[in-house]
Amino acid sequence: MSTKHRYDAIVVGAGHNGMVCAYYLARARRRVLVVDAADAVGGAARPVGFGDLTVPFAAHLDYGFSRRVADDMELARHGLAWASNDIAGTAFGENGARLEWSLARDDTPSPLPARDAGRWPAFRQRMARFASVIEDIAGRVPPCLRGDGADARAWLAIAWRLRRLGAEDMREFLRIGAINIFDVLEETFDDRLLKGALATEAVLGHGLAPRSPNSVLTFLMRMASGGAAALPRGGMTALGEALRSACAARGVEFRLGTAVKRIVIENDRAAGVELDDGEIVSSSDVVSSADARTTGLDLIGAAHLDTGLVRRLCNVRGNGCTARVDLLLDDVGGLERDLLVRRLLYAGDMDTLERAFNDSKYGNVSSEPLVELVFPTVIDPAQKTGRHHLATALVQYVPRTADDAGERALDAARGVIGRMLPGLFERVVDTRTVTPADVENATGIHGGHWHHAEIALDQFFMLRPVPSLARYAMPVAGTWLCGAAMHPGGGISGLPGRNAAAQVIASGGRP
Amino acid sequence: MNDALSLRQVLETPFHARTSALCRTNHWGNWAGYTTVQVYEDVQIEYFAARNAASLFDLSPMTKYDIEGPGAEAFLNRLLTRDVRKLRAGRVAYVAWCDDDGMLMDDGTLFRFDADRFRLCSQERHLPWLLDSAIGFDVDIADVTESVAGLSLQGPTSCEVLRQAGCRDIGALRPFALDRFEIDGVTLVISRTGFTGDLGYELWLPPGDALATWDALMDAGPLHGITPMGSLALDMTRIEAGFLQANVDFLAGGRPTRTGRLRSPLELGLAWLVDFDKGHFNGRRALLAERDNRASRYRLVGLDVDGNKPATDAFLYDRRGREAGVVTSAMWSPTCKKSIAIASLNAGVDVDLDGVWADIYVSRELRWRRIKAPCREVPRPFFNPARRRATPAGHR
Ligand SMILES: Cc1cc2nc3c(=O)[nH]c(=O)nc-3n(C[C@H](O)[C@H](O)[C@H](O)COP(=O)(O)OP(=O)(O)OC[C@H]3O[C@@H](n4cnc5c(N)ncnc54)[C@H](O)[C@@H]3O)c2cc1C
Repeated sequence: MSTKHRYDAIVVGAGHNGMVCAYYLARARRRVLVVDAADAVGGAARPVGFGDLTVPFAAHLDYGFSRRVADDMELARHGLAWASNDIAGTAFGENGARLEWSLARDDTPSPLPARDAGRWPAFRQRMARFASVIEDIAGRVPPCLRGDGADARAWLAIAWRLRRLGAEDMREFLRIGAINIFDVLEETFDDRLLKGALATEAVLGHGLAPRSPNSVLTFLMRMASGGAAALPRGGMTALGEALRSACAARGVEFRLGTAVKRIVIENDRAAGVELDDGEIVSSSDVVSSADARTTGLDLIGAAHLDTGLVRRLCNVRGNGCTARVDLLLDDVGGLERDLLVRRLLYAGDMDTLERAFNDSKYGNVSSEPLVELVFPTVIDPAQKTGRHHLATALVQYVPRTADDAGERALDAARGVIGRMLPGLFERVVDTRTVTPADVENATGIHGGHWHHAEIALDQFFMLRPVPSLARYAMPVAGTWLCGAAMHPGGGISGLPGRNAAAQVIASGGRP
Repeated sequence: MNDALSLRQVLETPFHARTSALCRTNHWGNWAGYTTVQVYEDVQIEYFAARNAASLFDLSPMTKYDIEGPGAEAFLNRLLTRDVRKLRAGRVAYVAWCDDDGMLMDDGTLFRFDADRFRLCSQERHLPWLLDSAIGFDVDIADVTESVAGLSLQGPTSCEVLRQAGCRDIGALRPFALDRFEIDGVTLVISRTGFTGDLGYELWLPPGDALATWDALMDAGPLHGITPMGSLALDMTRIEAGFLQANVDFLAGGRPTRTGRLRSPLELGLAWLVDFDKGHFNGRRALLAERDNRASRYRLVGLDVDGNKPATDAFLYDRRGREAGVVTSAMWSPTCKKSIAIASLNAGVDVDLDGVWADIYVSRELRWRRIKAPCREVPRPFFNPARRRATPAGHR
């Protein structure tokens, strides 16, 4: 490492991936600075004020933060604890139908018709076996197709994982990979609500409906990260605080409230960053947690990239479709108490989801959207820092370009939630909405997508986000990507940040 | 529009009324969607007009893009392998551009009118690539192929023809310079450029003035031997000049569907066009790796082939009979009095040390004979007269 620069690495963005990456770099004795435009750490889960409460900007639940990363970073020592490590789900259908389930547990969802109940264990176990292959892939840096020994060994390891599935499973894996979750569930189960609930797990956060290709992959990704929905004590913002604390203990420096205007490039090599006030901070590597397109076109600049890559970056699919609606409640009395500690899904059935998606295809907010609703202040009383209670909902599908997206999402959510918990809206004293456009404005992530780039086979693993960038390196030496646009994608997992750090470290700093 | 016209697949150039009247062979070809004369009367006569007098060639189908705006220079500097900052206003440069893999997309000429206005001319169409390349640059790109007619007047008396036609100061125009002139009341741009490797000029004008300008040149030229020239004779002169022809000596980018068919500029003898020191440009990293790892797969050379039979499409072998490369363009050069060829050699082959020979098949009234013609590597251009570079120009 050179002494010419003030830092060995500057990480752009103090989202969880940026911080995880910074931690591993610092652990490898790099001098690291993390810069974020926002005043607080956490990225899309950073704290914002809402009434007398503090809420995470967008992400409200932990769907599977990597245990390995949490252990490496000793997050427990840095204050991370769980209010619940698996909030069980209740799905709502038409005419008051309800179903209880959790993907993370062996328990059979209930109530189910006998035939479905009989099929559940085998279905879940098979999906778990498939998911373990995906989990293995998710933890890896995508190997090169034309690589050397290490790459060849990685390919062999993946092939071996597949082979170990056995002939029958392997055939099934390849078969369902090419179809969609609608067909898979349709041929397995009868219960409409069960199929709706499972399909919701496949499409939440994705611009997909049950009949879309790739929805089996996203379902397996959900299972690969454990299938649980957990809530840190203190909420998702507490996870960000723990990450920050772990980083600080390793000597990582933070500079918040300052945007990086551009990555400084000298002789086709990163030399640091220019901040929005014009200050230049020098560094031999720059790792960006912004999406690949934003990093390429805005921070590095097209002049430093080749035309073909620029075109591919412009065509990365990543238009957000998930919005968030927060409700500040004066009271939760009179509501069905047992429901308030659960994860409530309005899925209807698979056709409801498909119709909701259809609206968004033509730029409209779904009139009967998918909704995931939780009451953080009930599940975790530590979060009730004032007089009010809080309900947070993810609402899908809300296209980025829709007019008045926030109001429409709120209206649509009101209708659906009103059916799930009659009387809830009478207790609402304030609302807060976050649309994909708001996410884009607040985080600088182009498209405001949950995963920064849609997860699909053509944007997965060694093709994510575009083939030539899958190994976390941008073409300008010393420039890297560590955000959710990178393999294995978004959701607060820490894995893109960890993989990216491994690549930066393997490159050995300045050549 | 009448049906026959709307169904027609090939366009006519603004000079069609004149070229079609003069085309006695009725031998036409399709050049970038325009019907163009291959031979007016006789290839040899047209070729010798270019070398000994003046040839007039309809250049209108040449693809032309106007590139303008505050970001035009930066855009072109990222697009092209040369340093565009060094090209002064009023100058023209031979340029090339590459894809991300450092493979040649095409070559062409770049005209700089002033600080922010350029024109890029090439054989193939490249608008999608140019528009993609414009992402992130403050630049406007317009395809002006149809709104700019072109004529190429080449040969030792070309300067004199223009002077007779009213361009009094044409002799002062330096090679690769451009300026405005007037012919018969028509204002036009003339550049001292061409594809023949000789003294010559290219004229750029509005299509509406095309016929009047053609007539003015033909009227001014008889005493100087002005002769309309078709594409076949032009091709002879360009081989002698050592210029590459897209889709003959290399495949233009975007065309091939098979991997590995494209060539890098380093593999095509165009290293002199590649400026590694100017900052980033498309393909730079790939080309740098190719250069530093000595990873070029081919080497383009000029060959002097024994005998008088053109080595057209011939395979090249070394003295041990191993394949050494292929000839991409070849001819008997009447001016050099030699059989010359442009060839792509496999990496590592040395023409002289390895005893490279061309495998030529010739038919004498259908009796085929195989000639193993020894080759020598010679510099390109094969034909390179001093008058090409002299200023003031002209044959007095
Ligand atoms: C509405 C919504 C709800 C979601 N809910 C959940 C959920 O409940 N659970 C879950 O696990 N996931 C959820 N996600 C997804 C999750 O938020 C993302 O996948 C995750 O935040 C990605 O983390 P990251 O660190 O890669 O990037 P981000 O969290 O997006 O962080 C990027 C950071 O980089 C900073 N930055 C960007 N450009 C610059 C610059 N030029 N200069 C300085 N700083 C810069 C930004 O300010 C930001 O802080 C949700 C997403 C959305 C949109």
